[in-house]
Amino acid sequence: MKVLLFLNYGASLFLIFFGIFAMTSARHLLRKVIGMVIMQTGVILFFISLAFKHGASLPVLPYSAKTAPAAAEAFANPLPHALMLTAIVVGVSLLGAALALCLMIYKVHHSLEEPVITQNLEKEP
Amino acid sequence: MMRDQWPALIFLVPFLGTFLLPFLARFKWPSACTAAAFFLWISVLLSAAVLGETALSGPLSYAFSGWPPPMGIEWRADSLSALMALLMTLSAALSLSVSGASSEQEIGSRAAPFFMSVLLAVSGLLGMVLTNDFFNAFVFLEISSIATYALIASGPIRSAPYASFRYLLIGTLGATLYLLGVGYWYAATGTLNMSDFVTRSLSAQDNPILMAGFLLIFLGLAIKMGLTPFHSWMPDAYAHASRTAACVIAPIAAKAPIYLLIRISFWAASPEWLEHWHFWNLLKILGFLGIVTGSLLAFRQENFRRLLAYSSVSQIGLIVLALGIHERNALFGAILHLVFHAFMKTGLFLFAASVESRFGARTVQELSGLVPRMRISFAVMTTSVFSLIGIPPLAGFFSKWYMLSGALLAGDFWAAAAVVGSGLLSALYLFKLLEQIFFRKNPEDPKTKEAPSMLLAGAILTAAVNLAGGFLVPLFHAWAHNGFLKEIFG
Repeated sequence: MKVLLFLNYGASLFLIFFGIFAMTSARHLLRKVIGMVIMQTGVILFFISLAFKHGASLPVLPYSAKTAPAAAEAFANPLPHALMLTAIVVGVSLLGAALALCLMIYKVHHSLEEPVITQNLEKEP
Repeated sequence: MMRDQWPALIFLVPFLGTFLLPFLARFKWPSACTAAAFFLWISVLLSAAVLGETALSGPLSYAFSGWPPPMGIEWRADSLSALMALLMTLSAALSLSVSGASSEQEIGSRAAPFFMSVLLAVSGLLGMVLTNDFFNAFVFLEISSIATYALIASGPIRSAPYASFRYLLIGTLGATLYLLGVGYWYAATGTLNMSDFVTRSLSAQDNPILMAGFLLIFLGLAIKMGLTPFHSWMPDAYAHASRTAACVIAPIAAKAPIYLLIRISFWAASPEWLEHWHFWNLLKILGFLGIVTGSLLAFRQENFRRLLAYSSVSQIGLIVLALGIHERNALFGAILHLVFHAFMKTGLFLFAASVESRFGARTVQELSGLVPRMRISFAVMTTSVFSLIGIPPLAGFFSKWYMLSGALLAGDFWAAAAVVGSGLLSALYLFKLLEQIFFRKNPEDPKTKEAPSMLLAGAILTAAVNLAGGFLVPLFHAWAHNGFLKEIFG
């Protein structure tokens, strides 16, 4: 079970570095955007892995146990999930902004290839 | 009691204003720009009230939805964050109030979304400054960033969206690294509240996870503030943004990450621990690199706004260097420079906006022909430039003086030499600028055509702040002495 947990962290690190690599090395702007999203997904996976506890149950009190004191150890940590819900929303709006910018760029330069755009920009208008 | 809610209200007025603006824009009066400026001025009054209140009776703390601090989200206004909130709102409100007519000519029918983005960007910055919660700070960092991307993309369609896109990629990288660092800190201490983090991290000082998290957070903030070697987005963004957007965001956008860095490295993390990992030396080295790179690149620029952006890179380097000295006076000098630099840059970007709206002049070459036509504007611009260099009666001199005295008191002669050197380097590129502007033959017939009166009034106001700032420094020092300096250094 422990090995599986390390697998989680390893996967999140891989996603983060792979995303950064894609962002920096890709020439097409949409590929860069995809790299950005992969990087964010890696961080989300990292946070979600933090919440995991071996043998813990859902962080929901059963109706019958209204008054019983809840032992925190018996439940998975719900806070990282709440945080990541917010981070996902932030990521979606960033993705929207990035795609809108790509659209604007494409309308002017008729291409999303980085070398073409920089070449266009270097030419005097 | 109303008093506790003031910190949240500073943020809520422009934030709710964002969503009221499209409805207000359906009427002819007030224009979107006036309405946005109105919301910001309310925020200025509230920030001033909070600043006064913190000076009289200590920090204000507000717990959202009534959840008590370590569990819920806490907002906290102490002397430093109240000052930063006042700076952000005042600078943005000033630029918006004077650029109404000029922005109409430039932005026209897109006014409502444009000024919504302005309000959203400023409220995001206010959230970053006022929150006492690491994750909350990330959310507001992204809110202000997304609005800033939109503002930068509002410039000329040919180049602005691409500049904005590049800023978006690198800015997202910075914010994501910050978030990852917060994750490390949360894993190590189990808290997201900054005050709670201080007490919890003390028992786990030799935990390497804390240091790894700190480095990630620092890296993220360094990218967002434009510290060398992560400054490449800044010149493009400020040179291609629309001129109204540049006036609002350029003076304050980089200041909020610097504030967060101060908050995290002076309050949250313990100084001995940072000393042990040579963090202060790292700050000094990066700050020094920033000063040199920014100044040398500014020296080569032809485009006026790009030159201003590189000058910002070097001034941010100077502020970070002063933080790295880790001494009472140096920290005070850094804060002072943070405040005065915002006003210098507001004045200079307002000047850039006025020459662009009158003559379409963007390069230093084009500026030189305009001197006989806009004598008052150029006089005001020169005041701001002199303050940026740090010539004695002006405000910029006093901030650099405190940094220098801090470096000498700490016995750090390399840092002292770097502070003096930064003054000399900025004199180098700014005197070159003045020489190119003023000492050229002007073939044109001098027919006076001054800057738009409102823009000119704004530039004069910021120049007045630079003139008067120096005389207010003793008062300011007495206040800081009892406020944040006492909290940090005892």
